[in-house]
Amino acid sequence: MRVAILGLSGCDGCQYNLVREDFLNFLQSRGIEVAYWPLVGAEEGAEEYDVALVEGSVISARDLETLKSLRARSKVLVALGACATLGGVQAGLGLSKPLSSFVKVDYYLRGCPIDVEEVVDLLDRLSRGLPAGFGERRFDHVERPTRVIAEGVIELDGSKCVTCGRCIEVCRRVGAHVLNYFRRGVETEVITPYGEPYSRAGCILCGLCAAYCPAGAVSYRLDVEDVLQGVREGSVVSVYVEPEALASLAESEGLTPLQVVAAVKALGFRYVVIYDPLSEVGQVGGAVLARSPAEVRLLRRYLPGVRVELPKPRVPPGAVYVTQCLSWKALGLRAITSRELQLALRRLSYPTLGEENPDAVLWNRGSSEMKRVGSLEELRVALRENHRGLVLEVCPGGCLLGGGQPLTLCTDLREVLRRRESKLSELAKALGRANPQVY
Amino acid sequence: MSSAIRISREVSRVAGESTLEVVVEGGSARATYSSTLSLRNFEALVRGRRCSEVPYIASRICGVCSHAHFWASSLALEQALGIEVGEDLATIRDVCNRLQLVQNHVVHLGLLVLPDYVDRERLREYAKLALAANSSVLKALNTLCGRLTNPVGYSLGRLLTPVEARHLKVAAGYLREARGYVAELSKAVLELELPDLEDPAPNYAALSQVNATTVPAGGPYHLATPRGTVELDEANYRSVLQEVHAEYSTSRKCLLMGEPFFVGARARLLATRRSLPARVSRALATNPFSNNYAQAIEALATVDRAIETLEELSSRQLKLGSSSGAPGGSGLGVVEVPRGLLVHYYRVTGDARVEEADIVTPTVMNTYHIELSAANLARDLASRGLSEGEIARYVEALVRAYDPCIPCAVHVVIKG
Repeated sequence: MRVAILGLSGCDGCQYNLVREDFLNFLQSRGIEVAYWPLVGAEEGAEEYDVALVEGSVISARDLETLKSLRARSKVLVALGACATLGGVQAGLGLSKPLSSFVKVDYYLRGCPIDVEEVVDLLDRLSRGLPAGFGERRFDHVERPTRVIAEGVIELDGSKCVTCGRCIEVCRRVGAHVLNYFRRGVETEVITPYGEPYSRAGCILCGLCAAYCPAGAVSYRLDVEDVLQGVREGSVVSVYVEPEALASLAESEGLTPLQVVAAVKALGFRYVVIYDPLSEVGQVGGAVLARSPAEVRLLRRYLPGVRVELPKPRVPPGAVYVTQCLSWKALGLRAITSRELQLALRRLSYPTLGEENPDAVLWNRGSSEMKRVGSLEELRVALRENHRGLVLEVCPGGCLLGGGQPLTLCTDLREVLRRRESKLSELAKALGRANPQVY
Repeated sequence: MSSAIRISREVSRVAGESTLEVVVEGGSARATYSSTLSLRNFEALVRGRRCSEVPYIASRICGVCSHAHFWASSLALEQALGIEVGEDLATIRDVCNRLQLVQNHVVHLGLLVLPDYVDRERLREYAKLALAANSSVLKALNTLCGRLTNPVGYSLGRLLTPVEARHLKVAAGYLREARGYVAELSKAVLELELPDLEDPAPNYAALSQVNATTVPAGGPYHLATPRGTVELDEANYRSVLQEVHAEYSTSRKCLLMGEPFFVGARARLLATRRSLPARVSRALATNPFSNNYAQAIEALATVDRAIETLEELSSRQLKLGSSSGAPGGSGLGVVEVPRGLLVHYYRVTGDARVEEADIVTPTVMNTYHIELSAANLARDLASRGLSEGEIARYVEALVRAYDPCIPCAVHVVIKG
């Protein structure tokens, strides 16, 4: 089999990745002759080729001429990499076009740069006279319709979507069913029902879609820059931080909880208050307490007829609420997630940090009269009793997987939870020692 | 006697046809480098983009040395955004940049330079060596940052994938594996008899030892030149590295304070004044072809140094944190890359978007010097009565010695 490898307008990175021992050995073992490959000095060329691998996009008239001539002389033409298949990064200026705008392309190998294994696989099949299993022979290049769903906390930028379906899968798994495929074939896109904003599509703001998206197409709004701007201008002076958020920051950054307090103060906040909204709860007999707006929606869906109460954080103006859960952002509350706070904290240099005590603590850990129930049966029994609050954990835990909780280097989620729990105890202990007025 | 030799080669990264035309007439010679570009215009492409996106776009300027563009743009943007990068993070990035340098040098020497000088039998052996070295270095690079082309393991001021002591140890292991191959290849290159050529303008520029690492944590940048050290900053880099548009070309050329100069491995070795065998150091000082020697020396020394650095890092707690100030202002990133100096400049708005970008590549810096050397070489060879074909072959080898870009140096057409 005789092959040509050629670059049009592009960076040559795809071809350069082929200059590799294993790829060249593969060519040799299959008896594939690369008759034309200017990049490594093979420029004799031949009249005709069995396969032409073409990298880069079409910008100049010369590119077009080269491409057409090669197409006419090649049995199979393969578009190599993002520039050849889609126009590449330079397409952003409307400068370039993909190969399929001008000639018939038999196979598309995607990526920036390509995956060498895929090239090997394709050439292997072609050299044995087999049809290749992938590629899109049926389709000419089409501009994929895309849309941006940007209202609210979570944003979906269809132009970045690779329709992998991971977001759909996790959304289905948590029971929200907000995202799904729309249209078919090469026109497939991922949208909310009728392309409505997330807030009106039943989204519980768990943040899992953003965490699972490999292409950055789904993301959530970051408010941390605004808050820091407010700190600089003096409109934000204090921070109300959930104890869990403090503990998880301590775990992910390898600090003690009180060092995190010091770090937060080093960002310019004057007062640091450890604050748990559940501490605001009075007597709520006969109701289930949700710990976040996300949980409210799930509880209402799962337990129709049961009263669900959400203790709302009472955060004064001039304060920002730091939470583990993304969904608080939707309540018109000035809130940032601990993940966002982590981004801000990472800019500080840690070695000089001492420990500082928080300015106030509103937290009822240890003396809680809340009851955690594990099943619906337990819940039914407990509802008849008189408790200060009932908590049924139905939250899908989007926070831990990248929604609101800080990123950690540890990859074992159970281990992360264990470590964060121990940091929480460490915090309780440190506060008990430093401030006996914890309530 | 009049002979016009036209050497035309594909310059894929700027997508167009570049030609080096050498005309020898009587006792004088003239060389002109010209190109018809189809612009990919990255400077326009990044305008208005968020700073955090820019290194990923910039690395796509060139798939052969995408790390170089990644680092140069990161350095400039970190300066503009007021991000200060932790010492060890800077060191790890530096190692990655160096490894790309080694990777480029071994592929260039083994697959493109040696074919000019050795017979087929030995060539096969050297190509094998180069590819083996290449694959070990790639493994090390993949361990540290994911991949060779368009790195994904970093962002401004931080690493996106964790790098721990064990990664560093594994990478060092791959490099020890590579070292044997690189050493053998370097030896083969240093044994070559390179053609004689008097350097027409022995004027060079390289980051001086003050910026001991190739990816320093921001400026100021000190350029070592034969006339002493020049400090490079946002305000003066345009007057130190003057770009001129030649009338006969759409590409740009660059002068060092008004004079032609060269950059790259040879310039770096001259700047560091390493002690070397007399034959080699004489060649380095006077012969443009000796850039190939310099690449061989540099590749081996870099592998050694990278192993040392990685081992040192893996033996202690890493400091990878960084701190930041307010965005806004401008920044300059200067990095030593396989082919010489790479300069990225950005002006950034208060909401961290790029307002203006400016990129000076090493190939642009070397252009004038290539023209001068090629003219000299062609004149010498013509006076010795060599045929047009032979002259073209030497000129080609000369262009390859500069290593302007791998695809730049291989395609030759002679028109009588």
